[in-house]
Amino acid sequence: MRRLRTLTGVVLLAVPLVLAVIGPLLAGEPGDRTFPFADDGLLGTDFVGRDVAQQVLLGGRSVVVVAVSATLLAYLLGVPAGLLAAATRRRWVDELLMRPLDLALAVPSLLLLILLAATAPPGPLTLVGIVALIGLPEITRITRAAALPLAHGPAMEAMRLYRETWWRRGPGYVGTGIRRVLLADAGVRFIGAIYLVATASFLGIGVAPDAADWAVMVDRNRTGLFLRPWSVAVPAALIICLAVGLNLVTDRMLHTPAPRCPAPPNAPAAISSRTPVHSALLQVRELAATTVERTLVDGVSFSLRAGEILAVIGASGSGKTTTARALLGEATPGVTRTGTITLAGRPVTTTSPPGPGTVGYVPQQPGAALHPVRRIGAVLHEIARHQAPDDGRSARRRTVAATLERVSLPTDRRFLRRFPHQLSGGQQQRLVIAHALLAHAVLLIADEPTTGQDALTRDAVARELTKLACDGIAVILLSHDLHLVRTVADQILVLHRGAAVESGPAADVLAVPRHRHTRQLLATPPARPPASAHPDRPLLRVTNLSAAHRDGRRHRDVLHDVSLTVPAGRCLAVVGRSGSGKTTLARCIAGLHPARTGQVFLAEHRLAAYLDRRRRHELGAIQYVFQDARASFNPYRPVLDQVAGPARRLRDATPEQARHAARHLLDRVGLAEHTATRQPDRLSGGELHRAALARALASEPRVLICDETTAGLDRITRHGILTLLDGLRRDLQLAVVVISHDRDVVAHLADHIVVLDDGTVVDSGPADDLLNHAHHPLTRALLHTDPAAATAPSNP
Amino acid sequence: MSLPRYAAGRLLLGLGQVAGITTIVFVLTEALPGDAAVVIAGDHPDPARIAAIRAQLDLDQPAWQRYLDWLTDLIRGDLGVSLISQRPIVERLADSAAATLLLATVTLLVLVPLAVALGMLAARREGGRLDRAVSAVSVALYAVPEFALAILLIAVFGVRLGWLPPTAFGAELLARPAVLVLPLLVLLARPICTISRLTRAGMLDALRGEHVRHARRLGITGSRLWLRHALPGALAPVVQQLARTTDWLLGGVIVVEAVFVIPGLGTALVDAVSTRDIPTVQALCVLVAVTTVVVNLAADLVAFRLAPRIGVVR
Repeated sequence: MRRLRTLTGVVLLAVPLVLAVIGPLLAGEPGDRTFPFADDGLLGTDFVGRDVAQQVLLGGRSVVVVAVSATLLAYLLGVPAGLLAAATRRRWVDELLMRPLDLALAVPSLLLLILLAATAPPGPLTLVGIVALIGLPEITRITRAAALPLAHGPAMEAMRLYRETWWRRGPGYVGTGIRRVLLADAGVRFIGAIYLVATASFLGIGVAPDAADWAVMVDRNRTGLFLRPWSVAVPAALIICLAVGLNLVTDRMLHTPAPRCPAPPNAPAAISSRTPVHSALLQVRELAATTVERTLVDGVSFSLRAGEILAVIGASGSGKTTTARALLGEATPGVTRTGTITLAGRPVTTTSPPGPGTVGYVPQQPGAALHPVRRIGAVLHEIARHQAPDDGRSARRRTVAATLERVSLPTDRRFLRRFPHQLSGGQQQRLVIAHALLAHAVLLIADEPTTGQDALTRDAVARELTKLACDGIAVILLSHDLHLVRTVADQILVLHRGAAVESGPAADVLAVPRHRHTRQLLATPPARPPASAHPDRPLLRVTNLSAAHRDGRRHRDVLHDVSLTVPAGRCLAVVGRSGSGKTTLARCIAGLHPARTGQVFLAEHRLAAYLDRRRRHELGAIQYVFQDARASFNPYRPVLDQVAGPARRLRDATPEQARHAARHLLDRVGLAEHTATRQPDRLSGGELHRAALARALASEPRVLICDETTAGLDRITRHGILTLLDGLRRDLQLAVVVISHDRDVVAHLADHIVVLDDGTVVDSGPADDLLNHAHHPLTRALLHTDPAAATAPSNP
Repeated sequence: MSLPRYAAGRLLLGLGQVAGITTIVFVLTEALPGDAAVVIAGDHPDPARIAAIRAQLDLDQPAWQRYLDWLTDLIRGDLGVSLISQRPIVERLADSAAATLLLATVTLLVLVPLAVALGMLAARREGGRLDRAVSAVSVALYAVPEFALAILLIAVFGVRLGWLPPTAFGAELLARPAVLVLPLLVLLARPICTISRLTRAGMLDALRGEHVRHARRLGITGSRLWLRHALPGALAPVVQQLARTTDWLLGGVIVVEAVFVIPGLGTALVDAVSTRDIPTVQALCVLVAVTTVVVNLAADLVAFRLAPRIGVVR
């Protein structure tokens, strides 16, 4: 079908294009004029008695030439303007460029065309200029929109940190990134230009009234429509062919064929002549899932009683999510599934999913499961009505209120009139659970409910899950958060590369893990060697730092008067709840965010607030490892080249030396060379984290700033990175600043801890003190493993 | 951000846009070549008469003075007098606007249900026969310039088959609805393609989205799932596109009016430009600009309700 469409498009496009190009060569000398709309020649004569066939041969060139030149001109002006608007850090430049274009977009294009054409002398050049001018605003906007995230994203910031050449940042990174968007759009723009040129010619704008032009012919010969329909229909049809053919062909280019998934296989017919009586609510036997290339889940069996909590743990990619999807009876394209799942005595397959509402699913981002446009109360009432259609309005309201109370959410009208995006992440999560409760779920699957949450929120989630289990609901918890698992799980299932390597009661598995992989997963981070005792001079010193974010027109203060010091070879951890200003502090030190007041000193030498004003050796001395390692790499260049960048740019190494140093560093962080010569998208998340570390080390920094470097990684990968970081700190005498809300990370790395709350330092001190007997309640909540037990400082 | 605050910010922006557009219109019309006084003087172009006309039209005043006068008149609702017919411009515009408004209303009434339904039908089975047919036709039809389509339709239905009147020349639009059929078809051709494709894409996105899957797990299925859970999210881009279409329809669809001889705003504009009737051109442009701003304002408010989290005043 699609090929047929493209073929039709090519044929349709070829006829007018060939006519436009070679038509004038075949037309020959114009013959004598005869009577208007007479019978002479192949198609008769036109309104002034010229041969229509000859006019058709001559009339295509102007349309095509004008449209092509106008499109090219529009791109020539629009793309640089859009890039400038996207790249500039001065707000007024952006405004100055974009506001007038917004205004121009608000005027209908034909109106603009007529006004402009009336002011300029007629001629093909004018027409080119006007059509280009009309296309310009849209092209500028698209370029700006595509380039904006690239020009200010982590990858660009990473390149600015080692002062990458303009050529590699601009054309190399942003240019490659927007190329696809612009190419896809070019077809649409060209069609727009053809449309405008033809319409303008038809209205008699920019062309001589008796010119040989298809659109002009349609207009002028209209008077003879009844006498000589061909003199109008042929040029009109040619223009239609040109436009339709072009659109069919460019539409093809827009959709690069998606990789074909094999047809979803039929789920194995559930052969159950008799329904066995299970004491267990959920029974899974030999569940397996495979794609064409690999096995995702390999023969997993388990059972779960009502009111129990099963924790499924395993590294990323171990098959946790695939198992959950199978329990929901949802098909994943390209995945073949075997084995039997029985829920409450009923088989679950993709063709017969569990009964409506019986299985609730809380995704990792609970906000995604909530209707973004509808008020939360309306949706709750809808679910309640669906469950009990006969209940009256007040009965429904009582049911909803009771359910909200069960998950500790407010029940007042104002809360019910909110939209999901006005709730906090924790509230969204509880709302999704409330939906499941309203629908009488017997099984709840929670996917990584605590990833990226601070300790306070994690405790709330644990309480919530335990409460659900007490109410008789079976809970399956997919997590690599061992604190949560320890707190709530009754059963544990350990997955490793799709296979269940260990399962059993939580207490047994946690106390005596049998399988090697389980032991790795459960291992506590190795204790760090005690820091040297000699007093050290501060290497990095921050004094009275304040910073603000611009939020629309308003300034919002995020840091107030923060001061801290880090000696060489020591590690400072900055902890705090989400939104407390941790990341902004780190970015101010690195020069990525301009501080409002306050100074950053490196070895008692003051640094400029802005990255671009710092000197090269100062840039090299402070390096930053981004939270999202993948986003901080240019996806179009091999990782090795990017790791070599800092040495090349900041240490005057020759490209050969820089690559040599990069290989050495990559080897040190445990990345093989054949991995590093690939593009970033071929590396796993853990590998990219290591590569990002190597890149930060390539300029031989004295201060290394790590922003949540291990968030979202599974435990084994995380251990590797933490050990590596600690080793680097000791060997290279690095001053390390770690931003984290993960107690394990802090306990493993930090010598000194600073606690931020709402942009202010509320507590600070040696790591041992704050981790074990802190005084400030927030510190206790964030860092103590059991906040309740640590209310009083324990005796040493 | 709440809806009232967003609306207030958006309204201020709209006022700014109108002010900007009036300035652009004045500057552009100032630059129109040719001298209105010479045009009006017509057959007797003696210098004394031209000078008299100039004085009568205030053309001897400096440009900024005329701009200020024009603006104050505009605010008072006085659009001035046509240079050619000497009639108040308001009357002329009211006549033209009636035809345009009729055409636009009828088109929108047919367009919205038809295009949204087509898009939803196409999304019902992605890659199915109906989906492929709708998308092939809409890709092809989208690129066709209106005049070419109009001429072909006239040639076939008006001339060859004689089923429908080829133009609306001299006809009372409401008295003979048949004259509206061909213009309506031409006007529908392009918007129906964009809107049905946007609806289809939005529906497919929404149906794949986690929140629709969540609703399905809760047991909500069928038309309820489609209309209440999937459609609202899919409509935000459709509304924006609909605003542009409305804008285009109200701005006087110059080509369609020219081909079918309908005395609407587009015809008025072409006439005014060709006769250098500057006050009329200015009035028309301001009218179109205000319509554009109002339509976009309405669309933005609807879109804000449909996608509350994107509420950022640009």
